[in-house]
Amino acid sequence: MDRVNTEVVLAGLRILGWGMAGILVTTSLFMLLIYVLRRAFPPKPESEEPKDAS
Amino acid sequence: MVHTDGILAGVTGLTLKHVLMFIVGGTLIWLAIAKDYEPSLLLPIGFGAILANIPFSAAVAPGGFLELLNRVGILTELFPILIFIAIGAMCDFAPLLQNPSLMLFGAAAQFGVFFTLVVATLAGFPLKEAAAIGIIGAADGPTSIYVATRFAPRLLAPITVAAYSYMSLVPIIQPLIIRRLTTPKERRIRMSLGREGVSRTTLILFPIGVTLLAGLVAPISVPLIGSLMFGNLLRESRAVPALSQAAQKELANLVTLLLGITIGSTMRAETFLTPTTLLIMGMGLVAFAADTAGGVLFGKFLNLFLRRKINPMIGAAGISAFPMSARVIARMATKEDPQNYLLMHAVGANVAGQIASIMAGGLILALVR
Repeated sequence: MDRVNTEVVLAGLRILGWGMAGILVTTSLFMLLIYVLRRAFPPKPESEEPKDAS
Repeated sequence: MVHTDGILAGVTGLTLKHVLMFIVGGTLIWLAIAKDYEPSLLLPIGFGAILANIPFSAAVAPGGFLELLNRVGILTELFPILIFIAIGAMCDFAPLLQNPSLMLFGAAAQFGVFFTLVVATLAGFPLKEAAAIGIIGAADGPTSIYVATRFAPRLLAPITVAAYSYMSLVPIIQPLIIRRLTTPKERRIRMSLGREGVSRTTLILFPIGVTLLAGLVAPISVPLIGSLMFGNLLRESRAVPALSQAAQKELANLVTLLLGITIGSTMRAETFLTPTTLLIMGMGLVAFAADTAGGVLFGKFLNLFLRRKINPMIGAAGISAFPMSARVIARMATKEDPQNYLLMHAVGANVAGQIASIMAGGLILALVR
């Protein structure tokens, strides 16, 4: 551990900005993926579900 | 020839620091047994710490079994990766797929990771070590180990102990912060459950799609997200029930055991009993508090624009401590209003936190050079 280094703190702040932006972008992409998958592959109506032979 | 110098070498080499580490190890074992705090990890960690601090312990000497496990399982990052396969096989992403907007809470609750990174730089840590400390806020033990192994191997033990200790303290830490940031009226907000189900095809394609997307955004995150999603694919495919069960039980138990005792063995008196360890424990608490606050405040922020309000408490479930955080939020909701069932929403936010914490780890690895 060293004394506080302004450059390191500023780099940390930049990572805070880029990191949170990156997280929001990737989670938004995942949300989009979920919407697309759900739209493309909706659940089958219950009547189409395989029925128990008994 | 008879050599007697090995006899009683432990006694003659014993120092106060070793005794203190026995007490630290014993305390972790006590917390695991008497308090039920993450027992499957704290017990092996505690015993590993005792094994490692016996003077001239052959277990941690070159070629000793703990030294070997450390070299093969931790330094190669193999154990955290195997744990992710097990976690993936245990995760049910259906509540998240039913309500995709919960994904945002997983993102918001990663604020603690990056905030603590900045706090650590202010405390004088170099950037890589600050990043490894910040990742405690992912509330995700394997991710913490993975990042610390790469960026701050000397801090691996305190970072891991902090991560798992605070995860076990989620039921104490989170309600304190949530109560300070929300009003009783907000805590009583009810949320309707989505009635639409999720098709099996969606459940199968989701882990593949997430792996591809995450890999394209941050290729360095592929080992983490890929192993989590591989485990989930084993589960959701329903084609390999034996493998899925093995991942959830045998693999999870075996690797947890080996991971715990190996991490414990890195808790050597000379590196663990330092002011840095106390500082890291303090910053771990900051990380968990900032995660919880980030998620709750994000929920309150969204409510400024939404006609159908959401319960901001579910924002706190966006951390990766699964399923403990979801249970805590659900219990707080029913305490305020016995008819308010938030469990499924909280579980959705919680599994979103599982994915987001890995992405936070991946982004840290990509951004910090």
